[in-house]
Amino acid sequence: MSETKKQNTEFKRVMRKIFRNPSAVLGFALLIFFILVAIFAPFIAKPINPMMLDDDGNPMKLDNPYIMPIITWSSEPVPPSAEHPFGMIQGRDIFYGVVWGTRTAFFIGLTVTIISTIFGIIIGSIAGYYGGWVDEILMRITDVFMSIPFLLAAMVLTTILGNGLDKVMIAMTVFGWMGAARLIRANILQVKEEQFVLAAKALGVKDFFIILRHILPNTIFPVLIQASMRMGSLVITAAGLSFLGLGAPLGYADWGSMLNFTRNWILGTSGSTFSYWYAVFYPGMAMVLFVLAWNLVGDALRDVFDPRLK
Amino acid sequence: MEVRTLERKPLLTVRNLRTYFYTEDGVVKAVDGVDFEVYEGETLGIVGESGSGKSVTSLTILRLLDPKGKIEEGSEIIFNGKNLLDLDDDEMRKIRGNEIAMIFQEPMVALNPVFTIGEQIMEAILLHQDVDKKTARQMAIDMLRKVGIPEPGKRVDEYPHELSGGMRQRAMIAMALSCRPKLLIADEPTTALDVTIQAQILELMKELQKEYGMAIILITHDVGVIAENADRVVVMYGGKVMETADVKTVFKKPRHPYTWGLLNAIPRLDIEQDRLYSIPGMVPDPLHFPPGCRFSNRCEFKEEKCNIEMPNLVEVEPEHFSRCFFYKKVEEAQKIVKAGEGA
Repeated sequence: MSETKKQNTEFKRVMRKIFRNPSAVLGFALLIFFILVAIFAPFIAKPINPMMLDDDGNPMKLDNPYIMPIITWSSEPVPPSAEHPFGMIQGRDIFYGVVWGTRTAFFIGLTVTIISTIFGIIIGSIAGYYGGWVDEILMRITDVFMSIPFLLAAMVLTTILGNGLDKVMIAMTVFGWMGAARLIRANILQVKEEQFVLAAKALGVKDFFIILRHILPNTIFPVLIQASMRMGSLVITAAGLSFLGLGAPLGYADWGSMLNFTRNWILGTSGSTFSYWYAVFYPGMAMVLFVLAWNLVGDALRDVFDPRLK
Repeated sequence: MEVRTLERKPLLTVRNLRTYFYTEDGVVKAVDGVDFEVYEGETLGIVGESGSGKSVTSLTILRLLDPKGKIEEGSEIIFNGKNLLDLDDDEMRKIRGNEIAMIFQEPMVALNPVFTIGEQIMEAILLHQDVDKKTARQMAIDMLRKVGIPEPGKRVDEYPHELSGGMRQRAMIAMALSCRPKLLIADEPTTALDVTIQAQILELMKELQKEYGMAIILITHDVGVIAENADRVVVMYGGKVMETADVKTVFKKPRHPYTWGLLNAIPRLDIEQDRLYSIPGMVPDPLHFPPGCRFSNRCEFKEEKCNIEMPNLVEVEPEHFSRCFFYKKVEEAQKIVKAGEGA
């Protein structure tokens, strides 16, 4: 009973801390907004193709809602209208792409972050806990991976594996675990000297459980904060690769590949530079806000969990 | 060794224990040929200054040294008839916490801050005993009651930071004793506590020792704690045993200059003292022990021989061993001092 009470007060403390900080509130609000958009995407932007009718005369349902339907044959961007509030480009509705692109962004960000962070934690834990030559070998491997510029490495690997969103994600995971590994290793080096670790060993606890139960819970927060900050930047990187034509296939509801469409229109027409502003603005804005949300959330988490700021 | 009383059986026998640390600056001989035994149900006090090797000895027994430390060939740690140094890691883990438990100096940091004390005691129980979680929890509560923690049903769900230092040390003891070990190694268990709490904790350990019939190795630099709690004493200096005997003998008639120095460094109320005695000099750097006897550079009884040769541990009377060539001189000196005090 006292435990639930305690958790409540701890929960309240965290909540108070978050709501006192306006930028944290903004971050969480944006994040919740994106989550809602991702969840309710089928209702916000119906996955139907108005150009094609089924037998009953209704617009046909899309087989794969992530492939943006072509709804006009004009390849030139069409300015925003009541029906297409963000305008159209390459015959596709930008609004539809931005909405369904939210899901893609979460999918890329979460998958890559979770897998690469777990991998980094495993490598870093083993290196930090066992030390010696194990540490030496693992950290030199980490260094090798770090020495290759991330974007370049991801591009090369994607080219080798072949194009596609999944390949981009594999490439980003392969070259994205080192930060977590180094961070967790540094923290473990510190925590493993604590006496409670020795005490656990003296009780006969297995190494695996010492790392999992005694060391990681005392050192995991910096890694989680780093991971949440990385969520945003990963989406940017994925978008960058998509923009370069390495990522999602043409017409996929992904913010990056939507920007790919705008390549020919970015400069506008002669005389009016911003005549196609909407083609860049909406997907770009979605991306900026998404990254901002994760960074603010990461900041807020750091403030809440950093013991020095308590 | 020779004239042991035969009815007592040693639970733990340490023979020629040598633990060396291979550092970049050289080999640190933290424990260098230590012999002692612990009998069932008794308390063995290991006393010595910081750096004398007493903590390393205790960590060596449980094989918890960090990778730089190596137990040298020829060392023996025989517990219950088994040489612990021959066991593999899994077998050793089954002994740790189950048959040999340990409590530490700093109860503040020896408990994991992110788990409740109940969870930590339960971890030990679940590790070594075949019981379900509910039973383990009840056992944890019973253990907390046993070590004198009030409202154990409530405290079991509290985190270490919510307990006072004394309570935490009690929780540590509960954790260590939850599997009823045959041997408890207590490394400076009361050094970090207030004097009044110290007495309570030591009293508690005595009670539990009687109840469980376990042996205790009490490691401390506090000669007073040894005097009140130990049955036999091992005095360590520079990684070697300097003197060993039962507690009364050591305090009444120390036969090693180092032991005598330690005893003289205790403040006394029965005689007028202008200044508290302290042993001159400092514990030597373990990389640069003086040649010959390791205590020679601080010893008031030193002669030429001490610089050349390390004395052996000799039996000065039955069951009383001293590592000093000139233990008779120490005896003479004590007689003179006693006579002076008497006059």
